Amino acid sequence: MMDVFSGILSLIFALAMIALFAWFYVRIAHKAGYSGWWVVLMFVPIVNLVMFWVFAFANWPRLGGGGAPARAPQRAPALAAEPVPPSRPAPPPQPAATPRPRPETGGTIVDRPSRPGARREPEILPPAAAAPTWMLSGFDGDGRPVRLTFGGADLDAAEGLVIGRDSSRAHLVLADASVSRVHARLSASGDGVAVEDLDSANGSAVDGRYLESGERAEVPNGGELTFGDARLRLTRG
Amino acid sequence: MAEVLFSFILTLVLLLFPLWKIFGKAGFNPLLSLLLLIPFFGAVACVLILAFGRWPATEGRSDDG
Repeated sequence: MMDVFSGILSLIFALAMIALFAWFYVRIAHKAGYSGWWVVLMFVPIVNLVMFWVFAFANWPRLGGGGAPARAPQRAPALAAEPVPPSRPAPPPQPAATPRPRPETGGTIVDRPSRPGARREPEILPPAAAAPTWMLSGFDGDGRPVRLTFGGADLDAAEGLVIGRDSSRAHLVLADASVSRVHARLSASGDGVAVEDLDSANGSAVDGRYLESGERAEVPNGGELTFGDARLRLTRG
Repeated sequence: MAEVLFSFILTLVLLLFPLWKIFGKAGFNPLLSLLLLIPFFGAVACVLILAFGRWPATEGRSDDG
């Protein structure tokens, strides 16, 4: 009886370790610009060793495919740029991943934030109000179209508008693994919008320039914001 | 003794060399891969550094993850 019990315990422990390391590997794969599904191969004996070598020598999409990292910040190409597909042969099935961004007509997320603490629900984009409205549109790290709107008045709250993955803590939600639960804060800056990074794992950038910790940067109308792998353009409505 | 030496060299070649490349590519000092020589904890440390550290190579790039 004890044997069965300790056997179950060690099985649970082993599964927990596998899940933990799978999560670590997925993070690494994402950082290099690959789909997290590659990690499945890390649990196949022999294949994992081969994939480890392939990973070491492949041109990582995140490095622009050239292998040599460019040090100077680059201005992002057009927002509609396709995510670079993995350069490795024979990709495993990717049931959840969307290889190419769909046109923005389908599956558009519209999330109009209300005051902090209030219940927020996505709704249809209302007609333009008197106050200036802003729109963040683009694609998340998986190539899914994103469209978030908010009013200028929303920015005036003490804590501004928080962008993140956690719908219980963020006003504007980006359901993207590369986006931290609480990622960045948008606030009013004169007539415009300013952004600051909230110590996110993967950083926030304005027009390709990454923000330092604690830095608050103005976002020009039409400027491009990067949150993790999500790239969104801010436009005034 | 010969067995220990053999597995040591095998680890060095099969894991340390690619890991050296990976750390270098990510923008870290490739010497970090030598952490692997610490039994068990070294490998975990390498994985954690790569998974949670900011990669200098992608720092400041518009498509950083």
